[in-house]
Amino acid sequence: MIKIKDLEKIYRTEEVETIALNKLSMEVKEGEFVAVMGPSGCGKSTLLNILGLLDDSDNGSFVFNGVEVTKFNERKRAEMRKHNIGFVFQSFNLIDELTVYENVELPLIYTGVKTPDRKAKVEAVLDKMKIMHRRNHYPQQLSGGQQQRVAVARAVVNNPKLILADEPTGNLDSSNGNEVMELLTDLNEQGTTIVMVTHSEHDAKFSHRIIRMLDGQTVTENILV
Amino acid sequence: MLKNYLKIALRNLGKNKTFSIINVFGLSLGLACCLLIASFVFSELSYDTYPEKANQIYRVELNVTGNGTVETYTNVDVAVGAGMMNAYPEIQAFTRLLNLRESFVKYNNKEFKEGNMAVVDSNFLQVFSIPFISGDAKTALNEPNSIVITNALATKYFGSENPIGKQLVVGASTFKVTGLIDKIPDNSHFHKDAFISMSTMHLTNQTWSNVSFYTYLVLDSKADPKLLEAKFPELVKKHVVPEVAKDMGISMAEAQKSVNTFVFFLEPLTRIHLYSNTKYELEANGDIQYVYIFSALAIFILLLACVNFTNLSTAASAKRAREVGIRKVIGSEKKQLMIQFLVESVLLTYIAIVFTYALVYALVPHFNQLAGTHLSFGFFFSVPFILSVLALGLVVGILAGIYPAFFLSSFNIISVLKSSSSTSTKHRSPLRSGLVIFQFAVSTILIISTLVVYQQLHYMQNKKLGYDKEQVLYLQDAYILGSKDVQNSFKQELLKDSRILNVSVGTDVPGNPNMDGTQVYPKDKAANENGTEIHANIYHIDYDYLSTLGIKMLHGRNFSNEFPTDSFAVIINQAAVNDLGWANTDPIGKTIVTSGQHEFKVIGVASDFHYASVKQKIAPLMMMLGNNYRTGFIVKIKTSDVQRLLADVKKKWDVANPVAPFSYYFLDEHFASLYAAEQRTGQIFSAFAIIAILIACLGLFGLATYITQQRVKEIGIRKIFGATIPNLVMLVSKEFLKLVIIAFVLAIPLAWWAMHKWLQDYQYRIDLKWWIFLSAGILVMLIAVLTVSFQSVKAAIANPVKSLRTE
Repeated sequence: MIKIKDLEKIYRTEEVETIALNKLSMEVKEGEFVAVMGPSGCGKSTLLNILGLLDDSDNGSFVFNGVEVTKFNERKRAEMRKHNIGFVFQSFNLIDELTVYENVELPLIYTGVKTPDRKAKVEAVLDKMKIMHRRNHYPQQLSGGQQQRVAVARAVVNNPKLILADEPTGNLDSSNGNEVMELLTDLNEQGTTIVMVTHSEHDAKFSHRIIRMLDGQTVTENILV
Repeated sequence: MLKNYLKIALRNLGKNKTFSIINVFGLSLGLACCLLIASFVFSELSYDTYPEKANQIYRVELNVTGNGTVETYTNVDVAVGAGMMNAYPEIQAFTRLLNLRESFVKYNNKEFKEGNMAVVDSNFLQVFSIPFISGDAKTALNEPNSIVITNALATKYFGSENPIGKQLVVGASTFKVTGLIDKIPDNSHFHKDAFISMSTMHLTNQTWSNVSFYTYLVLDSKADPKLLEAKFPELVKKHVVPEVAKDMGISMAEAQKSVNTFVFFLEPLTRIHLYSNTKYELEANGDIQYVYIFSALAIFILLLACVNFTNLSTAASAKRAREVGIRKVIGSEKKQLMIQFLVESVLLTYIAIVFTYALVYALVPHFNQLAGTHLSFGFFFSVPFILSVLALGLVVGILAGIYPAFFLSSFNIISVLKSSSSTSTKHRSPLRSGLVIFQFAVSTILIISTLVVYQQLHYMQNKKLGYDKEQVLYLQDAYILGSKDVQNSFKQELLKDSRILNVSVGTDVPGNPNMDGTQVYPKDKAANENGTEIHANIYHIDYDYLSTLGIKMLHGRNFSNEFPTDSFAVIINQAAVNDLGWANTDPIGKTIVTSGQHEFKVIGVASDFHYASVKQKIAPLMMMLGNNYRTGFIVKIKTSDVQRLLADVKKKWDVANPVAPFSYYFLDEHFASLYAAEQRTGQIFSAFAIIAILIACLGLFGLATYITQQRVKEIGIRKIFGATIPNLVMLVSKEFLKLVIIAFVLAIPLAWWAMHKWLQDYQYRIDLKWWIFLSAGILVMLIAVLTVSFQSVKAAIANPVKSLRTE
C-alpha cells in the first residue's frame, strides 16, 4: 500500500537548514498496523504528514496504492486524500461549531455522498463507536475519550483504506486511551491499514510492527506478530 | 453542501457576537446610506422625464456676451417660439410660460397671496403630458381669462365644491376655472399651482430681443438639435438686428456687430434640472456635481463598512484556522473553503440588509429634510429596487469577503493543526493597516470638508454686506394698502414711533432675486464700440432708501426732491462705474443710455453692496427713483421688544387699510435663507462624516479587541516584568495611532484639493487655514484613542496571572 524510497524533506529558514527526513525508505502492506516511534524531532510527524498527503517531499519517491504521488498538486492530493485516508489527531480536531453528527458527516459531504446515504453511514458508524446517544451534542460537551471516539468515527466514516493516527491517546487517560486503541485494533482487524505515531510503548504493543526513527531515518524495526 | 455552509456561518455569527454586531451594524449603516443616496440619485436623474416626448423637448435659451462675460438667459422674447417654428419644419410645436408676479387671489371672502402662478400657451400642459382630472385638456386654455388649477389650490378656495366653472379673481381680473389637474410632478423643473391662458395677455408685440418667456420646442424625433441650433444665427440676423438698430438708434451694420454676441441655443428638457444653473431658472435646480459627490460618498461609506468585515475576519482568523485545517484534512479543496467563507459574508450582508430597511424606514423623513427630496418608504419596496438591493448585497458580500476567503482558505494545514493555541497569525498585517488608513483618511477628509463648508457658510452669513440687515423689517405689498397717498400717510404714521428710525418705500429689497435689468452703454462711447455695452440691474428706490439701509455714498449725492430732474437721474454702484469704463474719470454728470434710448444722468456713486447672494460677484446696479410700482416698506427699527413693535405696526397697517393682508419678514432672516443650499450641503457632509467615523471606529474597536486578545500573554509577561498600565495602554494604542496619523497625512492634500475646488464656485470665499486641518486631525485622533483605549486599558489592568495560566 505504501512504498517509500529515499524520501527527503528539508526545512529551510534563512540561517538554518533542518533535515527532517533523510533518505528514508519504508513500506507498509495492506492490512498492516504499524507504529512509528522515536524521540521528539526525529521526523515522525513529518513522515505522517507526507503519508497523509498533507505535505510534499523534496526528493525521493512515494507510491501510494500503486500511484506515484510526489508530483501531485494540492487539488489532486486533496482528491486522493478524501477518498482514501482517515486522520485521528492527538488534540481530536473536531469543529466546535458542528455537532457530533455534523462533524462525522463532513467527510461524506466533501466526497459528494447523497443525503440519505450520509444519514445511514453516519448513524452506523456512530452506533459502532457507541456515541449515538451524543449525536446532537457539541464537542465541548463531551469528555476527551468521547471526543476521540467521534474523531475516529469521522476518520472511518468514508471507509478509508488507510488511517493515520497521530498520538491518538496523547490527551487521554489510560482507560479512555485503551478504549481508543481497541477501536483501532478492531478497525485493523476488519481490514483497514493503520499507521500510528506514538510515544507510548504500551500503545505501540497494539501494532504488528514498530518502526523506530532517529534523525529522519528509520533505525530498527521490531516485528511483534 | 450549501446547507452545511449556511449552518456553520450562522453558528459562527452567533458565537462571535462582537464581530457579528459590529459587522451587521456597520454594513447596515453603510447600506442605508447607500440606498438613501441611490434613491436621491434616481430621483435627481428622473427630473423632467415624465412628458411623453421628454426627449424631444428643448428649452430655447440665449447667451449674450457683454464686456467679456456671458450672461445666459433661460427665457427669450415673445416672438421667438413662433418664429422658430415657422422657419423650421423639424419643430413640431412650441409652447411658452411666463411667470406671474405674486398676486392676490380671491374667491368670495377667501383671499390669499399666490406666488406660484404662470401664464402659458394653450398647449403647454399637453406638451408636458399633465393629465387633467376634469376639464378638457385640449381646449381649457384657449379662451382669454381661463385658468387651470391644481387640486391643492382648488381645495384652498373651493373646499369640496367642484371648481370647474367657478370664478377666481386674480389681481384685478376675473378668471374662469376651466380645468383641474392633480399637481405638477415632484420631479419637474417647475411647480406652478395655476396656469392662466396666454390669450388673456392680448400679446401684439412681436419682439425678439428681450427676455421673459420660457419657450419650449418639441422637435421631430429624428431632428438633430445641433443642426437646428446652427441655423439660429440667420434668425438673429433677420429679426434681432433690425430691432436693435431701431431701439438703439444705430445703423444695421452697427447693430449686426453688436448682436454678434446674441446666440440662441437649445437646452434639452431632461438636462435642465442637473445642468442648467443660471439666475433665471424657474426654480432652484439640482446640480450634477452634487449627484457625483453624493454617489462617491455613498460608495466610500459602503467601502468603509466592507473594510470592517475584511479586517475583522482576517484579524479573527486564528479562531477559524483550525477549522480550515480540519476541513482540508478531511478533503475540502481550497475552492470549496473560499465558497464557504463567501457564503458567510454574503449571508451577513443579507442579515444587514434587513436592518438596513429598518434604518431606512427611520431615516427617510430626516433624509428628505436633509436632501430636500420627496422619497417615500414605499419606493424602497418597488420590485426593481429590491432586486437591485439583493444584487448589491451579493456584490458587497463578495467584496467584503473575498480577501478573508482567500486568506483563510490559504492556511497551511500542518501549521494550523500543529499549534494548539494557534498563534500562527500575526497581529500586524500590511493589508489590514492599509485598510484602516483608508477608513480614517476618508473620515478625516469628510470632517475637514464639513468644517470648511460650515466655515464658508458662516463667512457668507457674516460678511459685511455694505448695507445694514440687522433690525430691518420688510412689510410686503405696499401697493395693496391703496393709493400712493395712503401709502405715504402710513409711512408718516410709522415715523411717529420713536422705535422706528427710518422708512423707505420702493420696489426692490436686497436678497430678492427678482429685479429689472437692461443692457446699457455710456453715452460718451459709441454703442458698437467693443465691450462698452453692459448688463446692469435696476433698483427702483426712493429718497430714504440709502439711509434706511445704511448704504454709503462714495461720490455725488443722494436723490432729493429739491431736484425735479432727478426722475432722469441715476445712482450707480462702484461695479457699474468699473464696468462702464469710468474707473479713472469722474462719473458724476455722465450719461447712461438704456435700451430704448432712454438717457439717465449719473448723480451719485454708492459703494458696492451685496444686493444678491454673496455667492455672486456684485454686478453693476443702477438705482433710480421709482414711483409706480411699490412692493414694500423697508423699516429700520431699534427695539429689544420686536413682537410688541410688530403688533403696533400691524395696528397702524389695519388703520390704513382694514382689509389688506399684513405680511412681513426680517431682512436678516431672509438673507440667511439665501444659503439654504450651503446649509444643506453642510448638514449632509456632517451626517456623512459622523457615519464614516462611526463605522471606522466600530472597525477599530473590533480590531483592538482581537489584537489585545492575541497579545494578552505578551501584556501579562510585560506586566510581571514591571510595565505600568500607561506603558501598556501606550503599547497597544501606539500601533493604531500610527495608522491614524498616516491617514491624516494622506487626507490633508486630498481634502485641500477637494475643498479648494468646491470653494471656486464662490466669488467671496474663505482661505483654507491650517488650523482647520489640524483640528480635524486632533478630533479624529481623540476619537481613535478613546475607541482603542477601551480595550487596551481593559487588557492592561487585568491580572497577568490569569492570562498566563490559560496558556
